Formats: sequence, structure tokens, C-alpha cells
Amino acid sequence: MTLRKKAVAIVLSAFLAGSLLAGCAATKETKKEPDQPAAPKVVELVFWEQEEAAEKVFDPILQKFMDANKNIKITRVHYETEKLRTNFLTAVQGNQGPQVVFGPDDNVGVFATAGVIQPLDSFFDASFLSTLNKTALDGNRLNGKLWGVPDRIGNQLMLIYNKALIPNAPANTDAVYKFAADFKAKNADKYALVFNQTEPFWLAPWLGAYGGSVFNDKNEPTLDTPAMVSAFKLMQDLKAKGVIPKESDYDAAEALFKDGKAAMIINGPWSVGGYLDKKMDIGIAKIPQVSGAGWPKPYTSTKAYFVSKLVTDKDMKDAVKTFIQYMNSEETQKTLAAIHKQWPTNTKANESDVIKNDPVMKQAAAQLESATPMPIIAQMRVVWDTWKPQMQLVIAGQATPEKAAKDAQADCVKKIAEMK
Amino acid sequence: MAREPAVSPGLLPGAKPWNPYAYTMPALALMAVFVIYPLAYGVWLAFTNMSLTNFWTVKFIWFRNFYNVITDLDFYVLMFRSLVWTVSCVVFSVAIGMWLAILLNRKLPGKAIFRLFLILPWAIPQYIAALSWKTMFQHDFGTINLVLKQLHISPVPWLSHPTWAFAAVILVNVWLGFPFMMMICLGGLQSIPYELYEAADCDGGTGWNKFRHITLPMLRPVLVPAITLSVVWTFNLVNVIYLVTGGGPGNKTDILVSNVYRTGVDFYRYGYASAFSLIIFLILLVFAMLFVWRTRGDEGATE
Repeated sequence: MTLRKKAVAIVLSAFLAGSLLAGCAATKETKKEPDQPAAPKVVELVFWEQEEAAEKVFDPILQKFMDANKNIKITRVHYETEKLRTNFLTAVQGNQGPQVVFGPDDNVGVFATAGVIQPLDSFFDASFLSTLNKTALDGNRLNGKLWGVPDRIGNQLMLIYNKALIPNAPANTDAVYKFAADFKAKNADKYALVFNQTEPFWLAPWLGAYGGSVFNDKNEPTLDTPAMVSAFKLMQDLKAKGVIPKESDYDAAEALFKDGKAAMIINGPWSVGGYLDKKMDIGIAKIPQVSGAGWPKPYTSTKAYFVSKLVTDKDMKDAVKTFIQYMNSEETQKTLAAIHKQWPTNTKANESDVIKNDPVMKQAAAQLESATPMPIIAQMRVVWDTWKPQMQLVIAGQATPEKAAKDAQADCVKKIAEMK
Repeated sequence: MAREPAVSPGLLPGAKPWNPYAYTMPALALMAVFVIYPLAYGVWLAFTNMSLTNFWTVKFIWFRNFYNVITDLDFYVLMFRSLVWTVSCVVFSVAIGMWLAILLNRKLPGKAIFRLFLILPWAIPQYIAALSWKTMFQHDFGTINLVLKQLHISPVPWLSHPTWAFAAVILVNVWLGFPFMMMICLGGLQSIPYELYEAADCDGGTGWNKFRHITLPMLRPVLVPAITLSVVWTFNLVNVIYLVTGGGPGNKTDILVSNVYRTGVDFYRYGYASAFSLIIFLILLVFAMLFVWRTRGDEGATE
């Protein structure tokens, strides 16, 4: 082989290796281009989301947006919630990633703590922010700063019942027990109530009913409280009296309810469409009041738009601003709400008849009144992780409510300390 | 054995010794980007305090993470469970696989069809298989409990009782794993000369003797690498547990790797999780070396 051939081979290999990296560098370079007043340049904006059926929900709107704003090109990338979180953290760490991210507001705790998103108080004009629901905005504040622009509020668990099996929703747990006893006597293989018994998201409403919460004012975990013990006891009692199945995760609960083997299910707004598709005659009500205690308080959360900390270039900032404002305009939010069936945050969209008269959203509104915002601080991840095993052990009869509460608290305190 | 050649074979007159490196450069470049760099980065992370709160203020903290891992009592609980999990999964897969392979290696009518059905679990994506099993384990309408009911056996709380849940994940993994072992053994069995068995027959060897002194030693060269691989895979397998029990109930089916997954992905303790992974890597490395050495698995059966 001649020297020249060798040189060619090496250069080619170098090219090959170089081309691998070219893709990563491209976005960075466009950002660094100096401002040129003459030619209108196209800003390429990457948008990551975790919406269910995203192509149906987002694509028509994004197309409309790009038609109206010729200088902005949006690339939408879909991720599952957890994937989006980890991938975004990794991307920003490598000075890459999307400019805008969309997802549940508990992202705030993670993203703001890691410092991968930027505060938005002065990013947007006050006139825009004032069009949005204040409670929803407050849900996206951490350490006094606004980190996300919420587009919907909801996600709350509700009682959904099959009218063919139970004509009216029970008002309190006594009524639930009474119904279950009669129902079980007639239908040995059916259940009065089902829900996901493996995730504490379904336990949180009951904790709220007994006046408990997972954090105190100082954001310290409070899992070992009388309220928690009572909530655990209620779970055991529901199981012992045969109101709920011996074991049931999310899929099992869904299957039982959809097959007409369960009269009631506790589930969120996302599930309603599936029941309606099955032509079930369903009703929606508040989760029954705990007799002798309060109304259950399911967690609500918002979904919000977050802006990467790497958005510093003026053109890019303007594009991001235009985009997020468009996505939260009255018209866009109305269109979106018709699909996702949760309350829009744009106050005008919220008050429109289209939304107010929607049968699903109308009924869901009652539950929203008795609900509590899900904590968005990063420590909440530890709470979920330490609460869950104890809930499972209690329901399986492997731990007493008192011991479970104590163990959950100890484990939680330890893991929060380790996180730092 | 390796011989040192006087002249490098394949080098043409006038070629330089570094030629091979030039030719392999594209592949090396790919390896560097996709294998070496991530690996080195992972090792570096293990010595840092990188976490959610130290995302931009990463500091080198020497062996602190390693110390934290091995002084945590949970580590030993998880270690024990990982060992039980790995040993039961591998022993059952090998035993069932070998037994079926021996059966299939005989003259059997319809052998091809049996073999086809037995390979089926291997052909089904793990994800689908695990989720199907999960549904079958369901307490009220799961297939397994329905069958038990027909047999007048009371239903088993497969997913809500710690011991049963652990048995359930092992069962699923054995079901997924035995076809691989069966195929490996079948391949090995077919290469054993029949004359050896005939000779044993002449000497009056019993079935057990033939298995013990002919089949097993002759299978060793294929079994040792297969078992080593299988141990490493099983020890590091998150999918089955994650999909069937999610580590529950009460984290009682968690093993070392599923715990690493949670510390890394749920709690963003990057440094700690990297150190934990490195420790697992070392455990497996030591195991693989010892196992191959003790069984002399890298040698042929007849050497």
C-alpha cells in the first residue's frame, strides 16, 4: 500500500468518526451565529413532551403555529415521563437538549434543584402570566421563583362508578361498606370498589381525609402520624371486609372495572375516555367521605412548560416566548382541553361554555374543590419510594399500620439525607 | 497454545507495523465513542459526589461512595437475595434445559415439533412474556389461580406476599431461560461421538454412569461459558423483576441491580449508583474468573 493510499484511508476514517459527532454540534452552532439584521433567520426549536397520544394532541396545533410563525421551526420529540426527566438532565449537562420541555409539575423539584431550567418570572411579561390561573402558577413555584408555565390543572383521582351496578355514588364510607355487603352477597365474584393498591398515589386522598400530609411546613417528611396510621387501617379494613380485592394493581383494577366485575373505581381523568369508548354508563363523583373524618383529598397537579437554562440567545428566547404563549392562549387551551379533559389554566378558556358544559369536566370539578396540590419538591420522590413498600406490606397483612408508618418515616428520613 | 511467529504473518513487504491500527481505526473510533468513553465516565462518576444537588458542583470524593455502599446493611440483604435469585434461576434453567436436551437428543417421533414448542419462550420478547405472566399471577382472575381453584387448591397471593412474589419472578425467569440452556446442551450433545456410549455399554455402564462420565464432561466446554454468561445476565437482570413485581411487595423482591436502578434513576444519586455498579461489576468479574478457572472451562473436554 502506498503512502498516499494510507493517507486517504486515515482521512476517510477520521471523517467517518467526525460525522458521528457532527449531529451533536449542529444546534450549538446555529445558536452562536451573530445577529444579522437583513435575512430573517429560521430559529429551530426542539420541544420534548410526555403527552399521551401526542401526535393527535400536539401535531395539528404545532403545524398551525408554524404556519403563523414562519421564522420558527419546531421539532417535537416524545418521551415517557421518567425518560424525559433523565434524558433532559443528561442533555443539559452536555450543553445540549431541547429548549422547551413539557411535563408534570413535579419536574420542578428535580429540574430546579439540578439547575437545568431557568426561572420564568421575568422571562414572560406580567400581562401574559396574569391570564393564567393563580393556583396553577403557584403550583410551579419553588423557593419563591416561577419555574413552569402550567397549561392544565387536574390529574386528581375521583370516584367513577358503573351505573349498571350501582345507580348512585355512596356519600361516605359507611354507605360504601353497606353497599359492599349487599353487593357481595349477590355477586360473590365481584367487588364493590377497586383501585391501584400498589401505589401510594391512591392512598394520599385517604391520608388527606384524616388531616394528614406527607410534609410539614419545613418540608420535612411526616409519614409517622396518627393520620397515616388511620389511612393504613382503612386500607386493611376495606380488604378485610371484602370491599376491595385481596390484591390489585392499576391494570387489574382497570380490567375488573371494565369487565363489569367492580361497581366503582378510583381513578383519574385520563381513564374516563377508555370507559366511554367501552360504552359504559358511568358516573363521576367525589371519593366518598370517610365516616367520622373528612373528605378525601386527592393530589392535583399541573402540566407545565419549562425552559432550558441554555436558552440565552435573544432570538431563541423570543421564539420560546412566542411558542409558550401560543400554547397557552385561550384558543389553543380550549382545543387541547377538549382532548385531555382537564381544566385549562387560561382563565378565559376555563370560563368558556365549551369547557363548563363538558359532562366529564363538569363532574370532575366537584372533586377538584376537595383536593390538595401534590408536593413538587425533589424529596417527594423519596416519599413515594419509601411510602409504597409500606403500603403494600400493610395491605398484604405483612406489617401493622403502626410499624409501617414508623418504618416509612425512618426510611424516608435516611434516604432524604443520602440524596444530599 | 500461542506461538510467537518469527515474522508477523500477513505483513506485505514494505508495510509498516502500524498498518493494522489504521485499518481498524473506524471501528476503534466507534468503540471509543460508544464503549470506552461511557465506561470511563462511569468509573470517574463513581469517585465523585454527583447528585441532583451537586449537579454542577461535582467534586472528587475518592472512595466515599464505595464506603457508603458497603457499610449499608441493605447492601448485604440485597446481596443475599441477588445470590438466591441468581442461583435458583441458573440451576433450574440448566437442569430443565439439560434434561429436555437429553430427551430431545433421543430418537423421538415428532421431535422437531417438540423442539419448536420448547424454544417458544425464547422467541417471545421478554417484555411481553413478563407482562403476560404478571396477568396470569393475578389473584382473582389470573390463569394460575383459576387452575388451582379447579384443582381445589386455595388461591395463592402471588404478587402480594413476599415469598410467593419472589417465587413468581424466579418462575418467570426460569421459563424465559431454559430454552437457551436447552439449545446449548443440544448442540453439545450432538457433538458427542456415539461410540463412547457404545463402549460404555460394553463395559456395563449404567445410565447414570454414562451421564456422569461421558455426557457431563463432554458438555463442559459448552456449559461453562453458557453458565457464566447466564449468571452474569441473571445477576444483572432488571426487566423481569421490574415488570412482574416492580420490586414489591414492600421491596421484598428487590435485588442489587434493581436497587441501583432506583438510586440512579429515581433519586439521581449518580456517583453513588456508579460506585454501586462498579462493585457489582467486580463481584461478577471475580465470579467469572473463579468459575472458569475452577471448572477449567476454557479447555476442551478431551485435553
